[in-house]
This record gives sequence, structure tokens and C-alpha cells, in this order.
Amino acid sequence: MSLYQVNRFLQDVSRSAELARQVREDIAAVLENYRLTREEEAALKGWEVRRLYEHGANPFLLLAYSAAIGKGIPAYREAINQGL
Amino acid sequence: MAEIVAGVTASHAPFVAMQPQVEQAPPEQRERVLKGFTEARDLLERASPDVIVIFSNDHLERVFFDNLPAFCIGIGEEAEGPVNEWLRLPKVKVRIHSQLGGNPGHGKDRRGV
Repeated sequence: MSLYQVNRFLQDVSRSAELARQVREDIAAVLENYRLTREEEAALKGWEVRRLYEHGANPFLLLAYSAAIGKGIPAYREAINQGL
Repeated sequence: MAEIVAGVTASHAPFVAMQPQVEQAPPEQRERVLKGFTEARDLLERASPDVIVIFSNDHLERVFFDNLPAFCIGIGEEAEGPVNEWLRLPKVKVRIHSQLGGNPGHGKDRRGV
């Protein structure tokens, strides 16, 4: 159930510049609107892309989300390939 | 009866039109891609189609896991994109041939989709 919420959060932010701005400012406040586990919240707060991916978050939504919050595609590519 | 006058296949990766990706691409790759799109445009101009049918991949821009169809046909008067605001591309509106898009019963595959 909460994995659905993770993907929901990722898509919502990637589709809204305003929400992306709020995430950059105060991610905890935005995360409160989603039913997430503590581990998922921590991983999102820490932008732990690889951990989120292995948990089951959709990699394309992770990419779009990362770009939306200003991380950049090269940084995402490095993060998702960590440990390989 | 409709006639297919041209066929084009292309990558839809937004980076082919975005900065700084375009600037940072290897020059020979950039030239090759641009040449391909120029040829596609010339082909379409010569073919002068009345309607363009585009097959593309939503990749979770508009639909989500709560309602993920095998096919999604765009109907209505017009559509605008890109949806994702982080894509630094100018928004473009295109008119939809709503009669063609909304026509029930055409193109059903053997499963009745």
C-alpha cells in the first residue's frame, strides 16, 4: 500500500513545479500528505534513489522526480547505478 | 477509405530538444539527429497528410497505476504538453481530430480491445 503512495508522491511532484518548490523548501511538510512508512520517508528525505528503487519505487518516476527537484539527470544516473 | 501517405519513427526523448543536453551532445551525434528530424519534416511536408496518428508512450506522465490502460486514445478538441513542468520545453498545443479519435469500433484487435 505505501509503495503506491511513494510512487504517487513521486508523480505528483514531477508534474507540479509548485509542489517541487515546496519539496525543496520543506519536504517533511509535503510527505505528511502521503501514507508512508518511516523508512520510506527517510529514504525520500535523503534522496536515496537506489534504496527507493530496490524497495520497488518506479525508476522512471524517480527520474522525473529527481529532475523536478533540481538534482539533474547525471546525478540521478549515478545514484541509481550505485553499487553496480 | 483512408490512405497512409507517410510513416515516421523517432525517439521522443525530450533531451533532443532541451538545453543543456543539446549543447553538450557530441557534435556528430547532434548533427545526425537534427538531419533525421529535418528529413522527417520534409517527408511530412511532401506527403501533406490530413491527419497525423501518433503512437507514443505515456511513461506515467498522465496515467497512473490506479488506472493503467493498455491503450489510451486522446480525444477532445486539443491537447497540450509537456505535462511535466521540469522539462524546460515550450508548451505546445495541438488540435485533435476528435471524430477520428473518438470513433468507436475501429482498430479493435482480436481481443476486442
